[in-house]
Amino acid sequence: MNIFELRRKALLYATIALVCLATVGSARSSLTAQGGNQDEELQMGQMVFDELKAKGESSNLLLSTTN
Amino acid sequence: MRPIADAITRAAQPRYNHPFKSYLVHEPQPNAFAAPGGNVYVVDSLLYLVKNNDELVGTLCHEVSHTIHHDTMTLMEKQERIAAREIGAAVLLGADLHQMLGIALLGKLHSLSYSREDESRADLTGSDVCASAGYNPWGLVWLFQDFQNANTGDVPQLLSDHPNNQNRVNALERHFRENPAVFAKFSSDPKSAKPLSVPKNTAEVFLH
Repeated sequence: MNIFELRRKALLYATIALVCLATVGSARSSLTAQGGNQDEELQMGQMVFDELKAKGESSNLLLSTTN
Repeated sequence: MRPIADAITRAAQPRYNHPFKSYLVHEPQPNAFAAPGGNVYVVDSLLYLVKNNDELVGTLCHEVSHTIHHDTMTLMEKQERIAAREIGAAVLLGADLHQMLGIALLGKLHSLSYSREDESRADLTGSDVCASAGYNPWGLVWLFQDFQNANTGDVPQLLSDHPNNQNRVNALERHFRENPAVFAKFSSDPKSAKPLSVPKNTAEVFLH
């Protein structure tokens, strides 16, 4: 195996390692963002519910669940 | 309402990661809207507006689809950005202001206008959910046709205020033709639908 062949292999392995690291990093940040959005959705939903309920209580509107 | 809400929940749940819950709200203006997180609100006066079960189910499936597509969150984030730009505080936008703007927009949730693309997508997904729930997805088409034939003043701000109902009807009909395995079994004739009769001047009964 000559020096060029060694360099070529080293470059190839380094590229593969970089691609793997980038993929893992991207998946992790995507999952974190997704989790954050889900929490935000629940928070927003709860605020809407509280607001409607408060409005109902203050003006005699009724709110009830169907399931 | 309970069998309808249960059927829609069963059909829509696999497409969304939070449990769907439906609430009946008492207000004079007919409306239905879905909030982020899975809550669906149906105004009781809507029951007097629709002509049959399938029109009611079509409306609810359309609203549920906005939640499935996260349209409300996207729209609220967009509105927040616009509001922040308007007050010239975009650079200073910290967590508190972000929350304040979010809260301010919540009050408008029932009247937010989605884009034409969001509405069309919710129509198609809504029809899929209707079919999965065992209700006739043509109900949505019939409702649009009713709106088209009604006086402008009689049409409530429901299913958005985009007036191009014919395009939406055409898109739905194309979707039905392209997926015969799902939709061919449903009749396009509104006379085949079970009328929804809510007696007027009776005491309002709310489910618990």
